[in-house]
Amino acid sequence: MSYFILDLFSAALYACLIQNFIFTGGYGASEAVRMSAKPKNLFPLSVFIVYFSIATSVICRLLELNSYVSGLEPLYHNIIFYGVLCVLYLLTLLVVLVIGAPKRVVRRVGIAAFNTLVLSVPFINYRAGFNLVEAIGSGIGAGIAFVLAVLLINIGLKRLEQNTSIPRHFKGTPAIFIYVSILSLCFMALSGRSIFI
Amino acid sequence: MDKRTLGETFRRGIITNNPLLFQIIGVCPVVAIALSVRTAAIVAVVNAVELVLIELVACLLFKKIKRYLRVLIYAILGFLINLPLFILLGRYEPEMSESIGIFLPLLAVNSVIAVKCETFAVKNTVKDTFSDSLATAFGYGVVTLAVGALREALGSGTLYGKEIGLPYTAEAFLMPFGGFLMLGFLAAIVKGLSSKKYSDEVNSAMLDTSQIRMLHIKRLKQLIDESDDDDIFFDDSVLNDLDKKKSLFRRKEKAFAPEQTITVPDLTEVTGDDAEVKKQEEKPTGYQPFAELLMTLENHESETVEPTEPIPDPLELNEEWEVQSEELLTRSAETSGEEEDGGDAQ
Repeated sequence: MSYFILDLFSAALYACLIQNFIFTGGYGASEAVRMSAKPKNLFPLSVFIVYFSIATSVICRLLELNSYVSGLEPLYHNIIFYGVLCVLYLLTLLVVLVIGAPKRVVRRVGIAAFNTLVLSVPFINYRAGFNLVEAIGSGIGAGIAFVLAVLLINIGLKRLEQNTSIPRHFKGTPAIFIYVSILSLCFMALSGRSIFI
Repeated sequence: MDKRTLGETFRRGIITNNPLLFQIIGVCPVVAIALSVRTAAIVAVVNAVELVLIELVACLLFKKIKRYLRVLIYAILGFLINLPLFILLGRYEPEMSESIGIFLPLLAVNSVIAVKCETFAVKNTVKDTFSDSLATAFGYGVVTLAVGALREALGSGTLYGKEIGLPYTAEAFLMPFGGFLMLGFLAAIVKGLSSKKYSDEVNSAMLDTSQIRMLHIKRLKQLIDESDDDDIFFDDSVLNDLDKKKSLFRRKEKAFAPEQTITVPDLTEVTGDDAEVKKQEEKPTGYQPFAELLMTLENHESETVEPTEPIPDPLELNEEWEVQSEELLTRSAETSGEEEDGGDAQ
């Protein structure tokens, strides 16, 4: 039991901090930046992203436990990952529509499901050869990484919005990109890679 | 949609409304795999093919389909277009396919496709959609190639695989950090070059960050209502904008001093209404300082506030707080805008 928790925790921590998918991989960067400018929508989107990343990760890993599936070429894995995500999206959509969720929430489901962050999780698990527990941890970590990225960018955007000493041409998206690049550099440092030597 | 000429459409797609530089969509493939001119070219071509085809199909067939189903169809179509490209690349360029790794399949869910289809294709004619998709794809491709070339030169010291003899290269440029940084500088350059003629277009295309400030005000209101944490109330921007930092900090010390009570006689003098005073007394002490502070913001010309009119009910003030704060912020934004314009003229 303790090994299970340890594996889960370390995989989540790795995906969230050391290999933060947004800053060190660029996955879901557009969604993170755009969402940080609209923090009102952060909660529903984050919940759905965490849900989709965990669910896709786990289902794809469970399918790969089958020796026939695990022996397939990478191309077929792509098809499986896409298929799983599409089916999962449809099922989630069905539930959301049946319970009569507001339109705003229904829209978030689509954005949360079809983005590079969620889809990258099963690909990374497959390439890294993660086991089931690590795959769950990776899914959780991806979701938390997204929330962390949005919050960090949001704090930066507030400061950038208030900062009057930014040169005129750098105001707006140029400053946002440069701020995100600095955050990316910080997370790179956590991974222990040498970057300037 | 307002009628635009072909030139205008391309200018918007490539310069003033560039999806990457100003709208911040489709960033992932660029920061992750545009590490050289060759990989950048693959991203640009695959994205262009997917974008043009899917936008056209969306314009022709999906106008009456529900939005939540359209999103699914874009992803499936993207994947179907992506699949043969993935097979071809794996067969003829196995090394390239390996270096691009998982990113080629991920291009199918590139946000630029969904955003452009939803914001343009399903609302416009085929002709407009075609020209818009071409312009967007071209704008996206040009920026991707520029980022790829710069990163290859600064990170590997080569350009299209040939040594260019740079004395120093940094691996950092081959990481997402380099991608974000290059996008930032390119956005600043394009903004600078186009600011004289098309500053309005560029500003309207840029990511809207105004909601952050709005939300901040709402959060502020919540905190005032709860009357517990006062740090956010003294927002730096408000203080700077009104240029009354010292005065307000003195107010802060006064207003949030521990166990501060409101003296009834003072209020009676001001309002002359006993019922009103009783009402004030029942409220937590945080309400009265808030009322005072709001008046300070309103009458920020004077150091001390000596109300000549009855103090309004703090509850009503709280309800009006958001509106008043927004007005103040708008005023301060206008002031800073004027200062900026003045500086430019000089």
